[in-house]
Amino acid sequence: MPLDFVRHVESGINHLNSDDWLIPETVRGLTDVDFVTLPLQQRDKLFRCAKQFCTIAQAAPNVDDAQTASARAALTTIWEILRPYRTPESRKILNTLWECWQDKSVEYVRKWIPTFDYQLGEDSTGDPAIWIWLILNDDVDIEAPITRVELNLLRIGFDVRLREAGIDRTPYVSVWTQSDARERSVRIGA
Amino acid sequence: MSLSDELLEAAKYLLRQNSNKPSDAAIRRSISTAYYALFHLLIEAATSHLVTEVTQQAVLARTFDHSKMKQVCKSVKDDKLPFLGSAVPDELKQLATTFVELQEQRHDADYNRTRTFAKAEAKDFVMRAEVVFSQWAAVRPTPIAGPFLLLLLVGEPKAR
Repeated sequence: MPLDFVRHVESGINHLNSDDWLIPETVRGLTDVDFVTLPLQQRDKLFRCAKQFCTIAQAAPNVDDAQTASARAALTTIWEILRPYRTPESRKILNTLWECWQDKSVEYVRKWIPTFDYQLGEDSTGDPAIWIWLILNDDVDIEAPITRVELNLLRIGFDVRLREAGIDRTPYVSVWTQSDARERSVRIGA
Repeated sequence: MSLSDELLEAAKYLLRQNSNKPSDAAIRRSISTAYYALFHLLIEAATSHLVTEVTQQAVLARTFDHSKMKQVCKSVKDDKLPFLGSAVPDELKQLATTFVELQEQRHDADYNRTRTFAKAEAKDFVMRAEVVFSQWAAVRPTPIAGPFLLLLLVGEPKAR
């Protein structure tokens, strides 16, 4: 989940001057279908840096100064790429979406949605908007009644909670499967 | 079958193309067509509510504005039209929400070539459009339907 990953990376960044940042947990929570809205090059860089960091962290503390510097650079690069998710508004949005996802009324859909992503901007009529992509497990039957009901509840939840949190953006919610998310990377990269 | 019904069927048909592996163009057209199914559903309802002559309905239909309709629906879904009186039924709020969303998705499907669309995404939009038909059937007989349809034509009332 993006919230998990952002929090772990932030913890690592905040502990760069101590001994406990170079651990695999610092980049925990990243899946291959996260951050689908990032430009492809940036997304590729994020994943490469996360992999690089993790490789070095797994070897720690038996790493030399060059490796430590490399890990530090990888982590700060990740932090920079995550900038759109770190603004005060974005943090509020991430937390609000997370709360919706945690709501008891959507207990089934929570098992089917391993992650989500979002993008901020203006819609075609110039109003502030948030585009949300829910990434569903490949085996989810999008036509099944329970899927329809819970996706609807989630959408309503997003709309209501974003407004209650004072986030004046119209939500536009889309669903992708995990395969869609992986294929997008392949298609655009081809 | 009305035009709106046919458009909804067309939206579903597009997603079945190429043995259920629709092309990017088919996916985009499906999303766009689903939106127009809603657009025409509401226009059909509004014009038949306002005038009785079929030829007059056809002329009146051309005066509806997508942006105005979107703004009205945004206000309905956000409960920003207190003059409508009694509590807005959930069906109308959800219908309005879907209209707003699908208009935007249609805009992207038709014009935004930097965005990738997936079949699951289009299917979801088409199914949401289909639900609107039954939501409208529930709202239509209620007192709020008339004012809502009129607002779709004239836009939101001025604040002062």
